[in-house]
Amino acid sequence: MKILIFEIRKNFLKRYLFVTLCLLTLINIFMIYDYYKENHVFSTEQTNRSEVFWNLYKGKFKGKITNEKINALMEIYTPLYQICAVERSYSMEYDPETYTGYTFGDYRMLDLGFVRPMEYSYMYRNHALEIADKAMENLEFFRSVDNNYQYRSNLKIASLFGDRQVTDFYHTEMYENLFRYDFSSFLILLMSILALVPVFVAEKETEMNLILSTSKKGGKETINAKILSSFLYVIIISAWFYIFDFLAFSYFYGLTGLNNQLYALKDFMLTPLNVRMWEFIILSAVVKIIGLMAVSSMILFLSSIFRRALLPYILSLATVFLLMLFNEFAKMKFINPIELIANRELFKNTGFIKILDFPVHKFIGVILSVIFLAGAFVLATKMTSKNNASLGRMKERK
Amino acid sequence: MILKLDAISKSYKDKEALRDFSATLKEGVYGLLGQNGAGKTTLINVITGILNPDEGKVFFNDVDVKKMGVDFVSKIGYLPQFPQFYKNFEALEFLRYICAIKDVPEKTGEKRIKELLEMVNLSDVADKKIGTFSGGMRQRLGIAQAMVNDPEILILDEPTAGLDPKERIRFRNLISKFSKDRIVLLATHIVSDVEYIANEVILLQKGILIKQDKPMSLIDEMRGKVWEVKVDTANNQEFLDKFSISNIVFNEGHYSIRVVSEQKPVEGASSISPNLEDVFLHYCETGDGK
Repeated sequence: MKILIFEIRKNFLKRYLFVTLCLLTLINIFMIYDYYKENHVFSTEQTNRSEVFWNLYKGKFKGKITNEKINALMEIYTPLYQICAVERSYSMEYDPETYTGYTFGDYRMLDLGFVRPMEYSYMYRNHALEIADKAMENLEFFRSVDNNYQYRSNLKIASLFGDRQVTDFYHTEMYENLFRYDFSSFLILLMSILALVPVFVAEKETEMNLILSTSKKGGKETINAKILSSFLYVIIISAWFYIFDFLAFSYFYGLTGLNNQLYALKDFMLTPLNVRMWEFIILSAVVKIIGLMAVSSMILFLSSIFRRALLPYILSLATVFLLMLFNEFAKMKFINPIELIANRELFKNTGFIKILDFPVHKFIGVILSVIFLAGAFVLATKMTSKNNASLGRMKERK
Repeated sequence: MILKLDAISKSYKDKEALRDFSATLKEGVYGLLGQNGAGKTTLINVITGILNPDEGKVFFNDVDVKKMGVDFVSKIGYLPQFPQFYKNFEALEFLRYICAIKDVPEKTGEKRIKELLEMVNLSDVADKKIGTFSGGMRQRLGIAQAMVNDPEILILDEPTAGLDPKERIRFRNLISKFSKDRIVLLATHIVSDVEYIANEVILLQKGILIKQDKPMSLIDEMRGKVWEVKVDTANNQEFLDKFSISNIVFNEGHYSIRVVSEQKPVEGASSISPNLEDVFLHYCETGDGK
């Protein structure tokens, strides 16, 4: 434990890291604001449209979808639809009797903010049941041809989609954009490279590796403490940035519907996860952190094999960019940590991989592959560090 | 306690760094003398376990150190050449870290750190960052960290390199202080580092053990082999090329050259008392001599 604390003190409690963290946090918030400016329909800004939207949302339509709400909405919407979409005979003049000041503005606000999303939520159950029914239909066929894997896959799909429904209507713009935002993950990777490259290299640069190799706990215990402290650092930095993302997006877009189902988002219509928004926020962050730790294990390995810091810095940056590039190729995605770091694609669609005739969710396969990759690099780091410290063939006495 | 090095050989690619090196060390200060590249650091790395010898073994109290494992490592205190330590650590913090990696119990460690900081005269700067230390202060911290686990074997690799004369003397005195009931191996190419404090001198040349003996015995062997020759300005290059020169002084229009030679070099040369530098020059053949 003492060595772990010293490793944290040695490698991560450094002024330049704190300064960089503050700077990158500010940059991240600015990038979120910039992203929000380019990508918002309704927000927390004090515009007429947004104010009207939030008033209607909170006052009339938010929460459980009821026939009364549907009727109330259609009562306002139907005439506007007739004028704007069918007859196209709406006036361009300012009208104080409308919500937004303009007839077409009202139509668009109701259409985008309420009708379409509420229709999606209301109709989702039918869509899900269609998928479940189709899967059930397939069971007989696959049983008849003795295809156990497909039989089990369809059974899983039927079970996943059979009970799905979205009973509540919540504004989902915040989540749609939060789950598309990857810039903070890139900043975490930069912070990881900055802090992790010196973890092993610095010992060689300062000749402390010689003292470590002649110290009772300078071998295995120190190497383990370095790896563990590095992972703790990545977890803490990730949590920092992801919490800031959540707070910033909530502030700009408005926080509502945390308890809504993930599949209430159109992007996640076919998701394999039956979880709520808040659960997915946490799950997504955890999966991202696993991916980040895998990249960190590669950085630590590079740190362990070089004597000076310059090459590991360059190679770490190159590794990150190459991983991003390789993620464009489907065959490389399975073991690519970037697939976990930018994980919305992983959880958008239900897909399986075959393991001993059993269907296993694809995302589980990718997570396990990346964990295996990380484990391999951790092992390689331990072996390289041990050779560098080189206690020779000295055995530890029990 | 006895540290025995038995027929140690080590090669790097085509270069033989150590060849059939054998020596027995007991309590006391041993000066490991040799030119740059003589094999001093390689020998130290073999003793400390950083390098595996190609042949030979190291024994401590008649037990193979490889079989002792970390038990042997815990008996070593080591100060490498040019240590930088951690610049953002304070001295006290750094020694606590060393206690942690050397598995020194906390209470024992705190007491020991306090004593050592006083002995090396760094108590006043214990809360200062190592990055602010001078070279001499860093070396003194270095010997403190090497002593923190009260080692039976203290190994110092070129500990006075880059130090001014005052710091060098201070360091020598520290080594003498710490040498009681301990094997101290001091590797250096600076003869004066060992001349006054070493119980024995080990001379290393191109990986081979040339001599191991008390300084006075080595100096006695050189009696009748060290000469002083006075030459004029025009002829001194002839001597530089022909003989092993240990010193040249220009005085009153001529050069007094200190020559190491089995035979009287020239007519008019007078035999003078040898010193350890002459021994070093004679056996290790520094640049200007034959």
